[in-house]
Amino acid sequence: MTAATGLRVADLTVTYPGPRTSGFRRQSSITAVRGVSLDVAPEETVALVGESGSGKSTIARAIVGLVAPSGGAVEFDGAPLSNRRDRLARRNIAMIFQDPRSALNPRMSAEASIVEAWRAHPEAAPEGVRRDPRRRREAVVDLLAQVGLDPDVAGKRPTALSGGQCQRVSIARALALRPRLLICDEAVSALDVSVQAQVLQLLVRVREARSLSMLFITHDLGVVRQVADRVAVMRRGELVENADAQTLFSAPRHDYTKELLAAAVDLDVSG
Amino acid sequence: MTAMGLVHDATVPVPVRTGRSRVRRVVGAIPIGIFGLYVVAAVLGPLFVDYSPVGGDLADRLLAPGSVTSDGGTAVFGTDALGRDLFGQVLYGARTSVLIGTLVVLFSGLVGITVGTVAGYRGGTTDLLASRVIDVLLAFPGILLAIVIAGVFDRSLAIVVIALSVTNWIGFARLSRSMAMTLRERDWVKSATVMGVRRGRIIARHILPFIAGPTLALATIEFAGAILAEAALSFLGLGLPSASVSWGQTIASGKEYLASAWWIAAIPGTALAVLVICVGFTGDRLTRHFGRQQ
Repeated sequence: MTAATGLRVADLTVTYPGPRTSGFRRQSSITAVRGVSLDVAPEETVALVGESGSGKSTIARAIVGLVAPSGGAVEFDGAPLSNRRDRLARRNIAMIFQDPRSALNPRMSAEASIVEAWRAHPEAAPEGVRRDPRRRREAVVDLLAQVGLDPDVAGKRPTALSGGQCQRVSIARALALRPRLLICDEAVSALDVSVQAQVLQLLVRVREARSLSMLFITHDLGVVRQVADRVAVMRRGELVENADAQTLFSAPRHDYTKELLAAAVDLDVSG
Repeated sequence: MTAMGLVHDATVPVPVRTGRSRVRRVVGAIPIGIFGLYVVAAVLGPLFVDYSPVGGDLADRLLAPGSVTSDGGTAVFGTDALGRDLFGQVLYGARTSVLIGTLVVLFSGLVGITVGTVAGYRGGTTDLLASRVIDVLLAFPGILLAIVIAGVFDRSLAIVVIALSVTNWIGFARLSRSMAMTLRERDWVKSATVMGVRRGRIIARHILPFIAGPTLALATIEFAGAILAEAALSFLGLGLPSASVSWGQTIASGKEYLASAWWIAAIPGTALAVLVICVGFTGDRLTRHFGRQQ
């Protein structure tokens, strides 16, 4: 077994091809992430902050294999995630999306969405889930209970659930494969403020209970203060500062970080 | 919570039943009913009415609709130049049309949805290749291509179905390609990808169910197109073997008697026109229905 070193992102560059102008010609490409190196140690929570378009989400998409990096490397516990088909290594990483509703197939019940994860990775599924429907329902209800949902949610479709409930189902689905790292891409920013706090608490509780590492992508510095051990600040595709959360909030070094903090403080005062 | 309640009410359309909308609903259902009648007639009609394309009594030739034939029966739609009953021809022709329309839609739908969905979902070179093939085929007038194919080979059901499917699948491919391209970007597809769900399963569970509705709407329109094209081929003598019954053939055989025995061409022509119009209306309704759902 390799040592548990967590996630290592080294010198990552992601370039999106420009739009096709005609059949074969393309406009010049856009580099969304340029040479970013970032580690998430086991059981550590790293917040990735920055304005929209700074490349935060692109990093997350490259880590989980939704976009192919054009340079650099992504590793989890020493195993490279360069190939799109590294399904086994990728099982360790789960992702929560921003829009709670569209992250779940509107034509599938919560149970079906969760069971799909086990079907994709039978080796990570609880025992007996594949063959025994009753055992399957039990396992789903157990997962739903862990995210604070009633058993009757299992049979419901996303359209019959609230945004907060949908996000909890997403979290339950992410936990179904017992991941080691949870990537939350703006996971609470589309929710109502009151629900935001509850889901945030849930994420923190789940992190403690399962000793998860977390990569928390957000533009909300208030959220960062509540959850992060370390903060990485992105601007225009580059990492401008990467520091301990306390250090960063008390003594930001980069001008851009200062700007961000100042903007957030203004909001705090007015709110 | 009251604010949320208001928002909720605004998004759910409350059906208001006024007299006018009921009339509209009934009128709107008429084409679907007529379409249904055609299908029933096509499936069950030949079980009750005997007709043979080689039968017919020359003594009964060119009888007007409603005439009594030599064997004592009534020719409701009249007879043609060889004394064959037109009612039987219309009924058996309906069976041919519905059969060909269904086969063409099934065959071209299968090909089109497969090509379109895979191209739209995978993107890249696959998509580029599929798009070029579609563009090239779009440049051909469909019926001309069908005439060439049907003309080169011996007349048979399979050749007619293939000749009509060669261009018909493009509509399905374009629709499913564009839908797969948008669906691919939806978060539920992405989260399935991240979870390591296999491609085939993603297409089957997360993409195809959303393509099904609009495809059904398109299928009805393509069905009408296929029936019309088959009639055109048969009219030109390139369709089914002459031993089978087809509206196109009947219309062609009435061509020389337009002045003296108008019913030979007019009755199957009307049957064809009414069917195509009703299928078109049904398709429009389905399109609107699924458009609202999106």
